[in-house]
Amino acid sequence: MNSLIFITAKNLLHNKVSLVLMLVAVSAGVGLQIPNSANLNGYSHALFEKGILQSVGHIVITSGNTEAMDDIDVLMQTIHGYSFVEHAVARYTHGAVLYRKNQHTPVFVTGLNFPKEQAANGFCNRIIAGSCPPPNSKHNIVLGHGVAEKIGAVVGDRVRLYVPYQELGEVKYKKSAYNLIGILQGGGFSAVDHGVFIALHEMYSIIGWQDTATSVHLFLNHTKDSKTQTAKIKNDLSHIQVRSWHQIDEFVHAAITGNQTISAVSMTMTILAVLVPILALLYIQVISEKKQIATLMAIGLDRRHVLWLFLLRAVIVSVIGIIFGLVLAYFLCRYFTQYPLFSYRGFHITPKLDLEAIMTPVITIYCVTVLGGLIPAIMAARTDSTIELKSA
Amino acid sequence: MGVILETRLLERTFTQGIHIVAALKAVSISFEKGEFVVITGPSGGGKSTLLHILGLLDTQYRGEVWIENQPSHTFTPRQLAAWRLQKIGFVFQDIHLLKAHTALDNVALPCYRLNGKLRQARNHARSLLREFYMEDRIRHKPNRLSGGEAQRVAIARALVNNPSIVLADEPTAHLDQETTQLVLDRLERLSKTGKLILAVSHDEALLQRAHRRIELRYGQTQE
Repeated sequence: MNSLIFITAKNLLHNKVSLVLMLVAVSAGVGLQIPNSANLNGYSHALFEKGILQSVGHIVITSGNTEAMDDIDVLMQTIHGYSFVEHAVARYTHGAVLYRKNQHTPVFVTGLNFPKEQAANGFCNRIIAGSCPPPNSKHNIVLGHGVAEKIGAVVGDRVRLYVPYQELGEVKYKKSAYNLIGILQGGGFSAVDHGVFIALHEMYSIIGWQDTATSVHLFLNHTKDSKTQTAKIKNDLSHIQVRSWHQIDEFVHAAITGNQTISAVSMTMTILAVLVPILALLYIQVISEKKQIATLMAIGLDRRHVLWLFLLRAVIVSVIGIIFGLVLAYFLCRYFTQYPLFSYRGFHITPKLDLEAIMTPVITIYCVTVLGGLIPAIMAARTDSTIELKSA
Repeated sequence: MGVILETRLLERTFTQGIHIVAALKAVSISFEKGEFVVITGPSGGGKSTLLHILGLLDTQYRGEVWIENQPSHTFTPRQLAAWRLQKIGFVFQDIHLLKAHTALDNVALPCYRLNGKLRQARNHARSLLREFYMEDRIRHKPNRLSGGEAQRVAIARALVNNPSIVLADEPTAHLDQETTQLVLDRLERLSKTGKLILAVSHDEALLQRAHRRIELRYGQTQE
């Protein structure tokens, strides 16, 4: 085998232009596909992080009609019985009008249990101005970045909420004043960006009802299990509506699926961009080296050795090309981390490198390169040495 | 000294379009150890075809080929390759050096294939090239060698594994008179050590040294 590697290395170095072109094809394939996969991965990750993990959670339970759910404590006890549920939070959302001085805007105000939200989705970590409301917070309000910007509110301002309710067919408003304690980081998702958040117990006092919620949000140990666990809960709690994040936020689901499709298309293009030049250049080498192949056969190589000679060329090119490609990918990922492809209000698309984003292009391009070498190698092995050595 | 190579009713045909051309017709010849044989004959008479069959390169024939009392017509491709490497040295009419390798490595390569030791193979190749006055050309690639130099490298390559059979197709075609004498001396010495030297040539100098001359005309032998 050593002598075959020796012959292969000498031949590769002899055809320097071919070698450089093949190395460029392989290293560009790996070096560009990894950052591309990592950026798409990062985009999906950011979408999921912002749109699901920092928002609705993996599974959402609602009444299935316009009414809120009662006896939430009983429901929460049932939910806490599921080992796959890491956190569960109840929320009560109501339409309202937010006032600051003479500025006002319609909003959805959500009553939250801040400590539980912090444990479930790091709510307080995303407060970019001010602080997180303390437990048993009173008259404190947190605004989404978009709402605060719209009414020009800053931390420390006094704001008023007008929550409508019906009484004997007449719409009335419950008015309450709050201290703006924090502004939540935006990120392009309206539920957070345009949301208004107060303590759940204060929401109960506004609506005059306890032990109720418009939705219960479940955060699971493993994201992948969402659909299965949704079905399980749905089976157990048939009287209420249980939906996984795929159904709740179809935009995020569709965008993540779209990213996977783009990644697959891009990988296909990379495969072709690597396969065609490798195949063509090695094919040309075989055609131009028929007499050399015949000579090698005359000095003791059989067809199997010749096959290996050309396969080894592909293997050596792929290994060296992949090493160069990994270096290129490293620098491109660093660049995109420093200068994200997209950045808006805390929503950044930066490369997310995981084993899959690295190994899928590496293994695919290795296999493609070797496959690209296989056809010329078979052709080379079929060389008729007697014809080649006879002809002048 | 004993038969080393033998053909029995050897037949080889080639298809050219719709025609079938017989290159060899029932050729039965035997060669003994230490013989220096020259095959002559007109162009297209089957000389190169016979050489390729005897060199275990061409297996598309009918009949039998026995090499060192072994039926090579029954060998597997792997066995044939191993025999070519160990027992047969080939010198081609068109030289056929490996372009990517230096003169030294062209000679060393069969030895490296056989022994697996590159340094040892190169040392052996260097000493052989020195015999052919090529020591100052060992680092040169074939495109920087003259026809005569390339031919000397090709002959050194054929001899590097100390083969028991040397098959040479016009071995002196590219050589000047002085180098021809050098090569012929070497081949003659080899035959004296029991090697079979089988050359296709019309070179008078070579014919004079031959122990036996076989004429191959229209695929048939005439001694």
